[in-house]
Amino acid sequence: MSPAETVGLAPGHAGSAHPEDHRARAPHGWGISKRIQLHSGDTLSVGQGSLYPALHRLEHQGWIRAEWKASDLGRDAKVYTLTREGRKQLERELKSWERLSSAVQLLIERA
Amino acid sequence: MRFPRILGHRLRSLFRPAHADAELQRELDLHLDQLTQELIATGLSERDAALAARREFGSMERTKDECRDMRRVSLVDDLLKDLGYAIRLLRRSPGFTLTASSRSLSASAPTPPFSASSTHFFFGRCRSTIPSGSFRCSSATSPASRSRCRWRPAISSIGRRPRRASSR
Repeated sequence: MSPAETVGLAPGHAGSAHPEDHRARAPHGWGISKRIQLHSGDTLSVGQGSLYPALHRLEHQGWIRAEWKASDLGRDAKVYTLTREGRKQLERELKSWERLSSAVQLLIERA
Repeated sequence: MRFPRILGHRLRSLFRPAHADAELQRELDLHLDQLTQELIATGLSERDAALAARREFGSMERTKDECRDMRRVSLVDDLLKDLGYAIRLLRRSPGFTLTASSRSLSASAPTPPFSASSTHFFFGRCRSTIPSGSFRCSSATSPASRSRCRWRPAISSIGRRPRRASSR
């Protein structure tokens, strides 16, 4: 059974397993929660109610932009896209995460 | 580019809170509907799926409150509500309001003129150059600042130490 089938996603869904699809289509809240679940191999699951405060915080900080658009859910949905500043912030956060995770890895190996 | 976007977002949340709340409700309803559909696909009845979706989602009101908190407008909202409550209470007892406001005004009204005049007449603008423990203003360089320091001799006499008896 493919990961997409395990979370009950139809092909072309915002939470589809194809990375190209994800880049082409801006995700909505539901799609984001499914993507996190899908791409982490069902290991990570964002609490249903805790995703939206996080999205609103990012929007408030200017890292993401939200707009209502026709979606694959058959009706308009609020979709989120990274802003230019958000992309820069993402790169900074990724570098920080890589430093931290490699430090933890080293610690585990040498301890 | 980020600052205008943040400002616009905050102003929209502040001045059109009903619109922002309606959008939030619409977004959460959409999520809940999708969750319900997913549970129906697993074999649950429509009613059971809706109940299970609600349980899985958790408190809708708490999520909405957290989203409002993220918009950082709850502080202003709370302040306005507190002000409204205070005004309603004060209107209920006009005697107390009149006494309290007249006393607070009489206590605070002389403060600004006194602060302004004391700063101007006693210290002038060279206040920041006054060394600690002394009233002397020795570093006034421009003619304008020197003229403002005319009070220096009078002030320095205030801070002068009394002569010792042994100096005789």
